[in-house]
Amino acid sequence: MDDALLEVVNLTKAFGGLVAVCDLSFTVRRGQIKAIIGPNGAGKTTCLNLISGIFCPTSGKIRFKGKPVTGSSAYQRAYLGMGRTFQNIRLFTAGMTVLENVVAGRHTRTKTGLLGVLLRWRRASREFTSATEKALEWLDFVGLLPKAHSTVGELTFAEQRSLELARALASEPELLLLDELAAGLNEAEAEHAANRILQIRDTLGITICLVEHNMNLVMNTADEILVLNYGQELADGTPTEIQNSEDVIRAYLGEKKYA
Amino acid sequence: MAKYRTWIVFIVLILFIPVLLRTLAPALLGRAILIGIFTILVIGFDLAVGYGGQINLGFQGFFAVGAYTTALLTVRKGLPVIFSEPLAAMLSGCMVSVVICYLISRPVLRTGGFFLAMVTLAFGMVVYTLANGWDFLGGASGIIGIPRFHIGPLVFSTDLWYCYAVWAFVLFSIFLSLRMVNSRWGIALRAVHSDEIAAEVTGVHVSKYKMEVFLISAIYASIAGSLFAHHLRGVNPPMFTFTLLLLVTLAIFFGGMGTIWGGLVGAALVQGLPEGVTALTSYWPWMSNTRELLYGIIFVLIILFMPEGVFGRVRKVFMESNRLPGKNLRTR
Repeated sequence: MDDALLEVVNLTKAFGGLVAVCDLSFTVRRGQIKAIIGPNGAGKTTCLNLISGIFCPTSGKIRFKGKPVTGSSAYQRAYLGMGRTFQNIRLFTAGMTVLENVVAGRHTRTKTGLLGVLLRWRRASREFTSATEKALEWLDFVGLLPKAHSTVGELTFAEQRSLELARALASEPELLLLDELAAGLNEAEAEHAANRILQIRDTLGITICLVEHNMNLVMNTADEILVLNYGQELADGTPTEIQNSEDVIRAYLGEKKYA
Repeated sequence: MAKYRTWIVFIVLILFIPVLLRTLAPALLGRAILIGIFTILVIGFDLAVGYGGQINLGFQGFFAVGAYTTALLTVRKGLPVIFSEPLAAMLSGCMVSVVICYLISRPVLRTGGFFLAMVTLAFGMVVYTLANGWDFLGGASGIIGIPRFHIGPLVFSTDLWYCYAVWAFVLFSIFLSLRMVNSRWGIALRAVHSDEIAAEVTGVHVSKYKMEVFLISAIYASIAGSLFAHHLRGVNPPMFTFTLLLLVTLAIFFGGMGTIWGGLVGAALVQGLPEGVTALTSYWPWMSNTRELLYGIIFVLIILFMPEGVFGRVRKVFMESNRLPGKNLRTR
């Protein structure tokens, strides 16, 4: 497939004797929203960690934009155009403000290193100012502009999730990996999150791969759904196909009579 | 103009306080020099620990490397005469520190945490033992006869002039540190401190940043060491014990972790305190030998009431009043 942005081929990850992801292959195409679902412990987050480079796979290959990235580290993949959020929010807290978190998100889009700061301050300073302005735009996008100078601890849970999203978006990624964006959010907030996901794809043209437990959100946003169970692919198809798949209903929702 | 207000005030203070001290209390000039040297040391430590979050228990070792390199190059003959120039000796000290720092931290920075603490602790001890036991370094009595600081024929022949020289270095190091932390580099560094995995996913080459800040802090320590050697006109091992590291750590807590100006505040508090105690002793004789006790009391008070340090508190109050989107883009 020509328009494949991310290709995962026969990916396996074992932690000691526990095989978390087993011989998994799938593709995320440009402009698509792909959801990965499955019961607890099915290997969804492990899968995202493998894609973003936090874990090294036991075997298998990952190709991003046609280039093999299996051996490259997480920061290199960020430079290639991957951005992600975390299930258990991982914001920069050490005395950093909301704005600084998003400025940090501009890292791959800016250049100045230590020597640049020391020797070419004028340029470094100009770059930093424009990164800050861009960061303010992204804060505005997720609706956190009024809180730009707050510390992370002063934000509500939902706001922290938005901030993490803003930090990931600030790097203007081509592929955005969202790990349970709606976890811990209430009904209204989750719906808002779903709209935002669609908005990110439609107006920014960013391809999205998301792991999610909230079925409403998945069914409303995803173009394709990959169902995992015990680290293996159970089904891969459109939401309608998945909803009607006997296997999925049995494994994911239990026996049909209880569903 | 408002942009440079802090700097103008600072430079004016640097220019006038030494003159004032010389006329009113010449004995305190030495203390002012010490505070300056200590400030450079504290800022270097704060860059690695307060900003980068990388613990360094052998920091006093790099101070020693700077001091001993200066001592060897300016006192011992045999090398081309250019090396006995204080600035050249200082630069050589920095290079030696950078090489040593690279070699010892390269294998462990990746893992960080506990391993880093152990290796740097060992480094500090090795430096002390070497300085004590190796005749080439003068053994327990150290090396004496270091000339006064000079740049070519320009000799800083009195304490007053040396005070200006040291504070010029302080000014420069504060200036550079502020630039470093108020940049993309500084933001990424604090991101590494806060969450290495999130930083890596954001695109920060974590191990490179850790190494860079470690090298920078070693350079600061080395420069402070060279200045210290010229101040005392000699070096010996007891100057570089673990106590020095404790004082530096104390200064960071006093001034505020992760604040550059806080380094100055902390250094002034820690190095100024003994002088204050001495002054008070002439009124209340029982105050003698209470220095450690006072350090302890102040430390507890600061931890209780200003956990972010003196300067950290000031900045926090200042920032609360400055919270408007788009305004105050500079973060530190």
